[in-house]
Amino acid sequence: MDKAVIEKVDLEGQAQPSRIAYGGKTIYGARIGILMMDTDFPRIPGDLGNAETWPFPMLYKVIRGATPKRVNTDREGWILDAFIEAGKEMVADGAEGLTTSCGFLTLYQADLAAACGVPVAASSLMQVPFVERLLPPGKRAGILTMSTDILQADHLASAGIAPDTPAQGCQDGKEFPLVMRRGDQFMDVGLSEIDVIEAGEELVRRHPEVGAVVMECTNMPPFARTLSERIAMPVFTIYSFLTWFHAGLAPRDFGHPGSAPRPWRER
Amino acid sequence: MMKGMKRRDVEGRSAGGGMAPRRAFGGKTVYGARVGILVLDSPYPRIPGDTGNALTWPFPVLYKVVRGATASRVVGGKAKGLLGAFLDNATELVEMGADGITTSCGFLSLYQAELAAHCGVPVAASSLMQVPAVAGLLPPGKTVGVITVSASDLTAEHLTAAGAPTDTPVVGADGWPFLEEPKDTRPAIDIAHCEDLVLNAGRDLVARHPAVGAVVLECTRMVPFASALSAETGLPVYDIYSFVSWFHAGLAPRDFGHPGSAPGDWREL
Repeated sequence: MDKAVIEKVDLEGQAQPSRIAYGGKTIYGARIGILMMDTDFPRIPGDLGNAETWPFPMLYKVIRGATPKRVNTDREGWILDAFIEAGKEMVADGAEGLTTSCGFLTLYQADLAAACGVPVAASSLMQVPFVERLLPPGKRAGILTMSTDILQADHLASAGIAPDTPAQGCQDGKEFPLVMRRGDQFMDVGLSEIDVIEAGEELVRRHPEVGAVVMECTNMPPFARTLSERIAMPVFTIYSFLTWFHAGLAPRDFGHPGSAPRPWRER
Repeated sequence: MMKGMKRRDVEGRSAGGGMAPRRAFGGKTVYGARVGILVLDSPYPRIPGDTGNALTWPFPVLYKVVRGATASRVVGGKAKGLLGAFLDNATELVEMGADGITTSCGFLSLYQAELAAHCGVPVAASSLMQVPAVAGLLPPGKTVGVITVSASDLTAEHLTAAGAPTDTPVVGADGWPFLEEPKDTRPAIDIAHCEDLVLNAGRDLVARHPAVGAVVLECTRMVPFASALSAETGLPVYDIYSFVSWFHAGLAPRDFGHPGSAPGDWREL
């Protein structure tokens, strides 16, 4: 901090503010580390696991053996430790914040943040109370999830979500949930879109109080635009959540005249 | 390969291509600008980064100036007597084409509920509404701190209306020049001085409240200094720019193109 105020004199004899750059990690510019479950189904642009989705760089790390079934259905105990270990590695590499590839991992939010010591945006579901505050009185945020069979009270509680929040799953779909469940290496995107849109339309049909939708699943953002247009409502996803998360981790420099030469650091 | 599944239609839309209809739906006047911004009546300069500078936004926005809503009336006077003017102007923005409403002052959390009820669209009145969301990101034991233009004017009422705990650590950037009644029709402000005020407030915040793990800037004029403040404190900094960018991402979800996107109907909210 002391170096920040040191003024140097340049060749023309003009006082120059300090532009000391600070280190402390290995990789710079990629602020968010993504903890990936072990999958090999296709992840198209818009999916969290497709690097082209992001307008800024990301770090990825795959937790081998952490398949969706082991994580969400069997809830195997070793997986949290593996996520923590991988999270710590990414923080040492350069991540300033962490996220995961699955909306059900609200369950890991507190433990990941405590163990890794950085802000964590584990799940898109964490947006539900945030979205609800935007809405006119009486309107609710509704959850569109991969499966309401998996979504339990503890997922909601760990994200600060009211237990009576309207939710709809697409587990009865004919393509999207099966591809994920079976781990297919191909997917009919058109059919998957139908599964997601139909579940979203069912959500607002069954719950007329819904005024905005939050997609739990990180594979759903490619269909958020279409769903939003069809139900005429805002749709929030892991994409909106992580672009917001990133905006705080790396506030934009708007240039002149708000920005002046100064020390440079990421942490 | 495709497991012999039958293609189904979603309301006249074929799943597999062909000449699907692409009906465009109307209902408003201006399209593509999803967020309407209610701007306080102030002649002070709004530089890039400020809510009231259109270059700040990576997407188009609509503006409406609320005449008579001066910074001193809104901040010091709790916006008393101005509710009607804010509601009328918000309605005009929605009629023009806005699908959501925000404001140029963090103290207007006070009008969040009334604005949303009156306009019937989502409202992101104040950057302070991010406080609980940011708190949810932080490690246990860490809290969110707020930097505002005037700590003495930021009451429990403002925090509660934003969903923020009333014991949230708050520090004021004392001496913030935009609150004074302007003596000139083209007043000049030293931006370097403003940056100093924000950075000093940040140093003060972390010195007095070591548990602060992230900062929320109440004031929409502080955004240009968020980057410097984050570097200075080593903390994430959230502001009206992060809030409205997120708001916009929900109002107009991004179209990621092929293969997730297919021809179909077009409408705004």
